[in-house]
Amino acid sequence: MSLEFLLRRLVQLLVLIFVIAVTVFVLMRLTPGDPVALMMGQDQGVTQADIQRKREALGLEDPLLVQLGRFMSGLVTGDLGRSLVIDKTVRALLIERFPATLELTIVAMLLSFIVGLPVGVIAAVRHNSVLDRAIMGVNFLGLSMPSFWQGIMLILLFSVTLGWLPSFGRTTYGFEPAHVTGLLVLDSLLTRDWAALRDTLGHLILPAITAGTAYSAVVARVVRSSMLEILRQDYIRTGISKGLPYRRVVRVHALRNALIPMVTVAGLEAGSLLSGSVVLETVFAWPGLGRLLVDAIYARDYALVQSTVVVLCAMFVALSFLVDLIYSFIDPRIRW
Amino acid sequence: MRFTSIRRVAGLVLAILVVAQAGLGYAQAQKTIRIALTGPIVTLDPANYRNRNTESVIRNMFDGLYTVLPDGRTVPEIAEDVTRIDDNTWEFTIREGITFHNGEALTADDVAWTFNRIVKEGAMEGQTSPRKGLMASLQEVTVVDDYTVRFHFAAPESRLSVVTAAVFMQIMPKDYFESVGVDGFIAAPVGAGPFKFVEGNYSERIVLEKYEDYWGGAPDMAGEAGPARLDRVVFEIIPDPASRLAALRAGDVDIMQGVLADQIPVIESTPGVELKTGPGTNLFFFGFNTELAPFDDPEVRRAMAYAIDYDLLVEAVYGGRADSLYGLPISANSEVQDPSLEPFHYDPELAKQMLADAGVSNLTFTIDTIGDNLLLAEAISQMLQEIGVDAQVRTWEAGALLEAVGTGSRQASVHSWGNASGDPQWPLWPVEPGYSYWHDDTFLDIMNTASNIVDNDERQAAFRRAYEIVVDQVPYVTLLVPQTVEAARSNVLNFEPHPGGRVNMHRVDLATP
Repeated sequence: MSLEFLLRRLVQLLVLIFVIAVTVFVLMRLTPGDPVALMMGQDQGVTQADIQRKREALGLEDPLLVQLGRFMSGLVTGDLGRSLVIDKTVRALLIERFPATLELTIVAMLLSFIVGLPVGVIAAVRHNSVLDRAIMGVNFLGLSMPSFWQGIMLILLFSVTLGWLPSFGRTTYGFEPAHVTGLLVLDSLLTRDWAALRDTLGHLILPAITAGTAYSAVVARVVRSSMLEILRQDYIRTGISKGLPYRRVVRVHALRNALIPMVTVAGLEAGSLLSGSVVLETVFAWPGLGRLLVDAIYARDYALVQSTVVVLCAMFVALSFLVDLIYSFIDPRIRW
Repeated sequence: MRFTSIRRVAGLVLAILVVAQAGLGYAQAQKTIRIALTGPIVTLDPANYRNRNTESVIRNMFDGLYTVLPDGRTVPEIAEDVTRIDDNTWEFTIREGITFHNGEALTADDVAWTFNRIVKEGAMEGQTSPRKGLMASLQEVTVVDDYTVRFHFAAPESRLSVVTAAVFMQIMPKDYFESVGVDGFIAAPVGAGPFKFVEGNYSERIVLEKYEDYWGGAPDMAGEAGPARLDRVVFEIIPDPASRLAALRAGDVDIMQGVLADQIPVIESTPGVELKTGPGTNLFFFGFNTELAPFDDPEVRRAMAYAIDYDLLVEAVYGGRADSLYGLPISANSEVQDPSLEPFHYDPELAKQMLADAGVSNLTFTIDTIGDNLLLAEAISQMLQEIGVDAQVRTWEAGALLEAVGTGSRQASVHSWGNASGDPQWPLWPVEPGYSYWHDDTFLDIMNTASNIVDNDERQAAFRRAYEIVVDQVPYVTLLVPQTVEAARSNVLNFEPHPGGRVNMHRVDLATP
């Protein structure tokens, strides 16, 4: 890893953020609809004068270049501004919502790998058997099932009918762990609050299954195909003919190499889950970033949309950088 | 490898399920009610919002001078009475012995400061309150003595307008606010309502607990006066209607707001859950741009009013849970309504004839609306087909449609309009230029002057005249007012949906099992 590479990536990141910031600023202004008119609603007693006054107070009447300048200088100084609609700073809103998204992302990813990896390996080892076909069939179902439908069905079965799991949210009232990191499972562990741990885990199960299903199917497919390719390689054949146990060949020699493309899958999955899933967050009343952003778009909350998109993009770029780093670490042939 | 991994995974998942289930076998704290709201709240500052969910939370923490009961009556709350000094000045007397959650007494100083913060330009920390528009022509509130304030209006105002303004703002503690500032206040709000703030996150959950020294609440409110019966109120933000219903059925919440028409049969057949309905305030209308042909011809607009099967709309779209307006601006049952004013009725033959008389044939246009009103717009489109009119429905995102209607580029649209106060002038507002693009000098004259008529009978008579003009000229076709439909678990006592859509926990109780 050279310093030059690091610098190049850093410059790329900054340029990208600048381009995204300008693009999202312009796109929001081009979208029809006025944040203040929406905020005031179609209700009694809202006059054009009220709307005008509020627009002026929020700085929406300033020339566009002035508004853009304010936004960009805010980004540089780390001041993301204040939401036009919610009585909070954008930074406070992001800090409030991000842990929910991060926690769900981690658990959903764990789940998708715990399920997807062994399933993919079994399908590859038993290539073309009935088991392989059955796995691939279920896999296809997992990929194609709409997550809002799956979510509602899981709630109806496990919450409404069986009463085993909570139907919404991150915690049951009265079981919230003390706030340390905002990641509730971690907070429960840190504070040794076992009741809260059980409660937060219970709340994570259904959303994580819903979020993880499609990804576990992707993981299984990718593992299966890369395993199939590797199992046909000469060094595997050599290993087997030298008398190594088949299991050992699969586990140590094939699986390790088959895992390399998993880093890419994981990177993409993390990127997509971290930006928040609106559908999932709506169905499970999960207070994450996805709904925050979509609600902000509907309300034309310029400040919140702009800053959230920039933060999400920066996160995505950082993740892809991380994936590159991991590649060079696990595959000695790759050098940056 | 084989199946051992699968077995391990299955074992792990099962173990998590069992552990999680064990975690939920807890006893709820005594008398805690959980309410599923339809969306996030935006602030805890009573002066800085125009949002229903926010109102639900705020109105349980803050009381106002007057309040509206579930049956729609406006009654004194913190105020004892209001009297007219002159056309532009009204005097409120305030109950003694009321304290804020921090123990400080509520006095005239707090009332005057609260209202002045919203009616004066820039008085809300440099900004102007979005609630200013709800305050009629209120200019200033002055203190007469510790328990008397005077409201000074720029124009003559009727008792109804004065009391309505008083309903729309809750009293805040001046000294506390000034000592903590706005950020301190929204982090730890203090009011004089039945519940005090414990903790909360605008998009997830807000927890309130009983204020033991609450003064007792509006004397006219149903139920016994005194501190709240509930120990805690927990607002849970659940935006998806299907998830809200699942939470109610699973017993994870006790009250569900925002019940959809197609959920009503499920609720009615679920044991332990009850449907709660009450009058609503949201007026739905079929609007036209009266400057664009063919809607510039009143005869065509009248034909539209006769083409609509009002009763069928109520049945088919709202499952019977709506009150039809039959093209009248306000319900025929309202005391403001002139009983001699003839409502429209469904008569497709007459509608066809009217179109023919107006020389209109093969009429084609687009009805623009938002996704929430799609069923209503589609039903209207079907009805218009029966009189030979081809009206296609197009849905928009709310912000985009609002702007398009505002620029006059849309021919016809289906909209709703809020009227929480019941003031007879508000149902006429969509007719104002900017929506219908309709100009009638007599009508505009009434709209500009009648709201400032002090005598209630005279004021109502003026608006009655405006209704007559509207029914004659049909600048819009009013359709219906959906009822407020909510649901609660059977052990929730004394709970009635509020016409304004907010939830009021002042005297709600939970039956002990």
